Amino acid sequence: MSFKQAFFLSLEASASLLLLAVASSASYLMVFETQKAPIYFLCTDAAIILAGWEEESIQQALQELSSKSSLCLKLSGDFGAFEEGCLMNAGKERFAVTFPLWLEGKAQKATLLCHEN
Amino acid sequence: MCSLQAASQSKAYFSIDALFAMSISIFAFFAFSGMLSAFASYAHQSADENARSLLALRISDYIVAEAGERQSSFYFSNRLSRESLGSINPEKIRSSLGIGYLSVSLADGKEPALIFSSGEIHKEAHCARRLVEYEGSVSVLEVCAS
Repeated sequence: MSFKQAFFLSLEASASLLLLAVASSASYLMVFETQKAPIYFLCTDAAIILAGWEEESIQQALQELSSKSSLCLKLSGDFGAFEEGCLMNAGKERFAVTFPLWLEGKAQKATLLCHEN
Repeated sequence: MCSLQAASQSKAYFSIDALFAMSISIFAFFAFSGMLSAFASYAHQSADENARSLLALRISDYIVAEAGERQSSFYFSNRLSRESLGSINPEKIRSSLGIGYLSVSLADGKEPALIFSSGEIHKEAHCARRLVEYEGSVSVLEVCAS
């Protein structure tokens, strides 16, 4: 292999590397595109409604909130853990909100985890 | 004669090579510029859509807070009633934000019921969905703006 040939090959390689860099940067553009605000607002809304929930059954409240928002909701705390509307392939976007939940006559720390299905 | 032929052949060979390289570089230039222009256009469109969706979310935040239930010194956000939603003035919101269209609807079951709307849709409307307690049951409040 002569010097000229070797140089030509390296140019080819650098050009293909450049193309690869451009293609991989395009995939990052797609990542920035996802909007996280709607799921954040829905999740905090669900937490606000749960915090003021006056009826006994938290599971029923979660079921109603999950069916209306199409979100997978997981509520956990010292009182136990509840889950509603979660599919096997839940989306990557998730938010957690910690809030005081009035249960069994006292305020308890609860964490609501919201997944986009 | 022979050397002249060789020289002309060599010239022709180089010019074809250069032409080929030039055509490749022109093609590459237009391909890259087209790709960058498509990216820029996509980013602009995406930013525009995000901004409009965020505007709808901000309006929904205002409505949820403004129409929240008030009991003496207590204030319940996200707890709405027919009367409290009726106190919202869509014209005032539209004029203060400079938007052409605003609508608020509630989806208790499957079909959303229009509460109020104002103005006309320009191009397309972007909507925000919020979870609220309406008349004692969980509903979806949909706010659309254009």
